[in-house]
Formats: sequence, C-alpha cells, structure tokens
Amino acid sequence: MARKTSELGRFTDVALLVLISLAEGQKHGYRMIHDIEKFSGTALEPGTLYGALMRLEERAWIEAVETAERRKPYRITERGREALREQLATLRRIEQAGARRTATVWGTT
Amino acid sequence: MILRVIARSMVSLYPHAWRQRYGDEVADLVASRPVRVRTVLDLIGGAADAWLHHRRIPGRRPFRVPATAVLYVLGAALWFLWNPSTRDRQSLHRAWAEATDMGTLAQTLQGMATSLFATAGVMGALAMTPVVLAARGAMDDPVHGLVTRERARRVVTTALSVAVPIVLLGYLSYATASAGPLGDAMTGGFFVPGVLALSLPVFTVAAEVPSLTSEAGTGAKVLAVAAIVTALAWLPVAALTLLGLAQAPWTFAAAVTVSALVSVCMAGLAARHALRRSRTVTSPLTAV
Repeated sequence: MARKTSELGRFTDVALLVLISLAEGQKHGYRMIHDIEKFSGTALEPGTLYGALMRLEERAWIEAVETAERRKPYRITERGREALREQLATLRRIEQAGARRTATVWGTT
Repeated sequence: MILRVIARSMVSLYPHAWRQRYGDEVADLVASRPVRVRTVLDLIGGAADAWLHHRRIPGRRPFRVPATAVLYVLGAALWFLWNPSTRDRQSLHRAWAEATDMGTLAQTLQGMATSLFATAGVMGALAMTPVVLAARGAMDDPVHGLVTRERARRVVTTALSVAVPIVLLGYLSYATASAGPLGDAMTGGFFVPGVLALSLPVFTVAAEVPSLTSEAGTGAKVLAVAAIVTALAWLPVAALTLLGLAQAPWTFAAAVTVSALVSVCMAGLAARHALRRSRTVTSPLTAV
C-alpha cells in the first residue's frame, strides 16, 4: 500500500479520507467536505480536495458519475475499494503495534 | 464577499484542462461554502499543484506551446539577429566584393533574392484581401444573421488595425535597405515573416464566420505560397554568403544561417497557423 500511495504525496491522507467518505456511497464535493469534517474533524478546502480527487481519478480509484446536475457526484471503484482495504489494514497494524508498545513501556491499555 | 470574489477568480489560475474538468464544481463549492483567507491560499496552492502535475488531469490534451507565443519569440529573435547579419557593413562589403569576383552571378543572385522577398512580402500583405472583401460584403448583407454580420465587421476592423503595422514594416524594410547589395538582398528576409504573422489575427477572427471559410482558405494558401517564396529567397542569399565566405568572419556566416532558419520557421509557422484556422469547424451558433 505504501508503494501504491507514495505518489499521492501530501494528498495521501486526504485521499484516504475521500475513499472512506465514498465507501458508503457516491457524493459530490460539497457533501464530501461535510462528511469528512464530520467523521474526522478535518476541514478540507476546495483546492486540496480537488487535488486529491484528480489523483484518485487518474489512478481509477474513483470515477465521476454522469449527471445533468452542476454538482458532479463521485463513486469509489473496485480498485479504489481494494486500495482502501489495504490502507485500512496497514493503519490497523500500525495502531496495534502502537498500542502494544505503549502498553509495554507506559503500562497503559 | 470580497474574499469570495477573489477565491472565485483563483479558479482562472488553474490549467485550462483542469478548469474544463473541475472548474464548475470548485466554483460551486466556493459559492456555497464560507470563504476564508485560507480558502484563497489553498486554491493558489492547488493551482500551482495542478500546473506541476498537469499530466495527471483526466482528459487533458498534450501540452502545446501556443503558436502566437512561438511567433513572438521568433519575431524577437529576428529583430536581434538583424544587426549582426545585415548591419555588419564591413563583413557585408567584403563578402560582396569576394562574390563579385565570380562575375555577373553575384548580381543575378542579389536580384533574385530581392525580387523573391518583395514578392513574398506583397503576397503576405494581400493574402487577407479575399477575406476582407467577403467580410465587407457580409457586413451589410441582410441574408446573414446579426451574429455573422457583427463578426464580419470584426474581420474588417481587425484587418484595418493590422494593416498599419504591415505598411510600417514594408516602409522600414524599404527605408533601411542601404547596407550594400548583399545587405539589401537579405533585408526582406527579416521583414516578410513579420508581415505574414501580422495578418494571422484576420484569419483567426474569420474562422468564426462560416460564410468566409472559402475566402479564408484561399488567403491561407496565398500565405503558404508566400512562406515557400520566403524560403526560396534565402537560397540566393546563402549562395552569395558562400561565395564571399573567404572574406567574411565565421560569426557573420553563422548569423546569416541562423537568421535564414528563424525567418523560414516563422514564415512557415504563420502559414501553417493560417491554414489550420481556415479549416477550423465553427460552431452552429455562428451560423445564426
């Protein structure tokens, strides 16, 4: 996963947030920003969001949904789901390792 | 309110392909969410990122340097080259003296170059004539719609505005032809490409008027022939320079060679641009 996301640069974290937001269904930019702020506390600005969307679309992890409306929704693709699963698994391993080590050294659980 | 306007204008900093793809969506976000200084800075950063990674923009077209920018650069290059090649009187006279040792060939070549450049210049200046005449007719013709008549009027006003610098270039070319026979032979090569490039705005505006397609095509073909004649005109100049090479420094020969290449490239590019413009398919709206 690290190899896959390395080219996303400073957009790696934003890309993860976008993929998580789209995991439950298609959304347009406005709803994505609200959703991400709600579940992560991160207030994204349009320039950052669309920088990440451009990269995710380029690697076919998300795709735009055809619509006549001005606000274009995006949805996660199968490749995007696979990438998200891998990244979440990596984060879980990191979280478990962190929890184990802090418990050993600091005696916390 | 002011920040929102500034943020909205920041979208124009993004590459064209990016704006085509995401511009409306970002403009909608800017219009419907609170805008702070941070939003503006974020959009500026996003624009810089989009330019740096423009290859990642979905549906982008290959990056192309605008032909107009290339023509400006070539025109400036010709202007700078004008001095070392045609105004180096000492080298010009020496080379000419050496070339005339071959007999009347030098005079023949000099006459050929001057005539060909003059022909190319006149052709370049008159290439837009068919378009302008047709546009003049369409301007007042009630058969055409309001949009077509207005665009035809723009063709005529554009032609009038470029006619002034074209005449000035022609006069400058004539007035400065006093650097000896070899200098006079090549002077046209520094001015004709400019004349060809100056007529391009007329073809650009004419491309928006479907009823002028045929005339624009004819004019563009005349420009193409003028570009070919320009290239041919440099051949006798090259021959003269070669004949006088023994008496001219290598820097002079190099300056003439580069000047000829830039001149031919500029004339060719102007003609190619006009031909493309004349083949441009106009939108149905223009037929109204």
